[in-house]
Amino acid sequence: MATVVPTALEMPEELQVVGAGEELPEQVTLWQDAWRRLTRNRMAVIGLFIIAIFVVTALVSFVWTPYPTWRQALGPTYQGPTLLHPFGLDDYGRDLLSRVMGGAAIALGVGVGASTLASTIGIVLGLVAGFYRGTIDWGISLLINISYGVPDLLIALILVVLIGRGIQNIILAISVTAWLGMARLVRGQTLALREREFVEAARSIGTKNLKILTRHILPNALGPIVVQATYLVPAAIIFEAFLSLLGLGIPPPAPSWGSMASEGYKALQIAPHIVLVPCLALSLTVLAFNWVGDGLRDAIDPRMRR
Amino acid sequence: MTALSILNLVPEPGRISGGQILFKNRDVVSMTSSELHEYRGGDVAMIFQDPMTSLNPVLRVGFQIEEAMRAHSRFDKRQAKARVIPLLERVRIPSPKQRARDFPFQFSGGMRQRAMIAMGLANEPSLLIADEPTTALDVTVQAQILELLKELNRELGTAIILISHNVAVISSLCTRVMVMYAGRIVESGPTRQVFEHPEHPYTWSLLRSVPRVDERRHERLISIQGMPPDLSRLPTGCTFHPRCQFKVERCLREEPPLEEVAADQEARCWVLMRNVSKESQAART
Amino acid sequence: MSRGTLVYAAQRLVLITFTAIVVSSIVFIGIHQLPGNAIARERRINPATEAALLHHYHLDLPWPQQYALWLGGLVHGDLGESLVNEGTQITPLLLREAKTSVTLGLAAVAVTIIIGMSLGVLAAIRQNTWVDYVASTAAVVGYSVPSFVWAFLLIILTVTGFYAWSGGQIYEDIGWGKIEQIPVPAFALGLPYAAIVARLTRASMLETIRQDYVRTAWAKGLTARVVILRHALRNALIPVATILGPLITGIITGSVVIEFLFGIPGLGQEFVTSILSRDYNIVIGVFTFYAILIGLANLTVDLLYPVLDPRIRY
Repeated sequence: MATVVPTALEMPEELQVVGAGEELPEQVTLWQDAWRRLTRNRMAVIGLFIIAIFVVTALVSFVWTPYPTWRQALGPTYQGPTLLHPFGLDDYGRDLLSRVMGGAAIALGVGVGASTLASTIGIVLGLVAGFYRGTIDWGISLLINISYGVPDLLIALILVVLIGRGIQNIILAISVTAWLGMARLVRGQTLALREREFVEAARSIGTKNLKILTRHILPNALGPIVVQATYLVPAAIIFEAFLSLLGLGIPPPAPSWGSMASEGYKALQIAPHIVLVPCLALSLTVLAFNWVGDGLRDAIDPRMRR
Repeated sequence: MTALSILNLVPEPGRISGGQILFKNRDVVSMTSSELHEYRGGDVAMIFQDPMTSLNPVLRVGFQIEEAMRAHSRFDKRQAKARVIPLLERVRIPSPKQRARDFPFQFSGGMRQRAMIAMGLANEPSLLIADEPTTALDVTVQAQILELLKELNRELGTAIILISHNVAVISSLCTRVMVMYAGRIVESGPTRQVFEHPEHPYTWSLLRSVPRVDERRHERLISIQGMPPDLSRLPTGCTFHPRCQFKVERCLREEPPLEEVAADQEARCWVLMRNVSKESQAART
Repeated sequence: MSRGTLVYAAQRLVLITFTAIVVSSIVFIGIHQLPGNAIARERRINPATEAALLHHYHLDLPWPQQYALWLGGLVHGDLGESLVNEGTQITPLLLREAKTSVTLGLAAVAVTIIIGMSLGVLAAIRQNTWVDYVASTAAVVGYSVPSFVWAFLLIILTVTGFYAWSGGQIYEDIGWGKIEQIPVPAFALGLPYAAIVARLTRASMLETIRQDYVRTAWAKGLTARVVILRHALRNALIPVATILGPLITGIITGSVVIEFLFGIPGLGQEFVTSILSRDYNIVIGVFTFYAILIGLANLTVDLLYPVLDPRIRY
């Protein structure tokens, strides 16, 4: 059975919290302004709506699916859509609607989980590298440069083989390379912000480094960070599907969309619905996150808008 | 904008809404696409205000000149290639052979404008439109470019339309002048005559707003009050009336026609400066 | 190519070699820190044979010595022997597979650039018309649909579709070896990135077609084709080229999945089979090859910059 991911499924709510600016009282107007611009962007609103549907579906799947996701022989194998099984049955006679619902929980769990983990590591190390420079910066920059020369999928594959295929391990394997991009972004932002006058001013009145980082640098870099973190979600979802397709994702019978497509691939020519249903769900989720990401980017930095 | 219209190059969403543009008795607006391509750069060439951005940064200067000839049928391929270096020489670019192989970023501002002029002259056009060709350049280079234009006009017989805000440049180069305000001709005539006896208040104020070093003058310099009008919401009547110091009641209601006011001189004004007494002129300065 | 460029390329080649050695060393050391050994983990064999095998692969030596031996081989281009298929030399095997992967990769890059740029230019010159809306929407949808989904759709379209359409006359199975089998995986791999290139090209073209030098080109009487391709697009390509590096890395990553799905005997498929059978010597070898391939691809892109933009010199 799928492992339950406790807190990871709250991405849209998280966005709203940031948008309302509760944690950043001094920036209320800026974030409210960005939120208003975001909700005026048609594509971003559609994206948020699609994400909301998938989040609700994922939450519902924990307590109820039309059939258990693992129950086999519910009818003839490879059966196309019927009234009882609107998305049809797969090669073991399992109900595809139930499985695609369970898959939403896995996809969002992996996506949001990996994005959160990778962002946290990336933000912390990026801040430290950009602010303190020195050996840490040298080491992180070297890692970033080496990582350009290696496909991250290969590293994740080796890790999964070594540490196993549970959902936490998959999240870890994805984050191991995904944090580098965030670190690069935050490091660059920090390098630019630490030279700014308000940081100089804070330092001149004796503000501690930690407080400068959290009060002055981080809030000002938060816009691009939120955008990058949003884009990391669909990237992680695709990554998990890659692993599942190669037979190294979350082990069966968990209804990961990637594994569902992988299982259906053998019967692509006689029962294409088995592949198309999870692929459609996956593409729709990725599209929704990309729309929201584009919308956030335009809302946070109006100069980028065309 | 008027100059771009002459080439039928008005950018979107603009349109040429009325009137005619006649070149040797052919209407430019109704030309077919292939006629238009032959006419642009072939019959009429244009050089622009900012030579820094008007040349393509990724193509060699010589090639950009050659390309202008290859686009037209006046010269064949071999002639086009052979003409590049003489053309550069003609506009006084030193060691033109090497310079033809350079990229625009290796040229100075003045040299780029010379290259633009060479490009304009490539097809021996009968008309060259120079849109503020010297505003982006410093004064000594300005003088050289103007000297060059004058010389080309004399030796090749190319007609030149010079668009400029600079009264000194106009008076040193042009035989005839057309003063435009808010997209309309307000006065026209031989340069000398117009500048000595301006009849339109705009021309009059414009001339009094620039200092002159070649003449003893006792008038004070003046500046024209107010802001240029929003072209999408032009004032009623004479477009200049909100800023005019000599306006009468009629100016607010009716737009004056462009009428002959002296031999060969036309102006678009109900008042005309000749009807304003010297005292009242002096009072307004 | 100027002398400066040659010196730059030579420096980069040294750097690529160095990166390849560092990357494979990290993987080598990382894997050899694991408890147990590759032979003992999967197969049950008698102790004598196992000892002989361990000795054959030098796995009985302490890891620094193994590393020294392996590094010595690497310098001569020898990546050692397969742990699973005894006697199979890795270097010639991977060279053969690299050729397959590079063929597929180049075909995918061609798809990306041709489709991406055409869509981008079309959308830009027809800005705010239905052509633009269709192309722009296609671009966002295109990069949200991952390569394997494109693969499934294209297989359904070509294999099943053509079969039905021709009444059973045409049946082209997926696979590798025939030239007509290249387009389907190449399109699957290239389409998501074509969408990204299209977006970038559109934005960049919209920027350049407003530039003064494009107005100059029109005023010279050049035809629309020449103005758009030679003057606007040539300049628009410069910012587009900056994403070619990440794009090539992305295509290589995607090719691992595509090769596996289509059964294409390339480096990606080799990597997946080897990691599943724990043939670590091959795994390390594939890493080395990928590091070199990515390095060479990025070098090619960097050498392209001065060609596109004469203001850049090395």
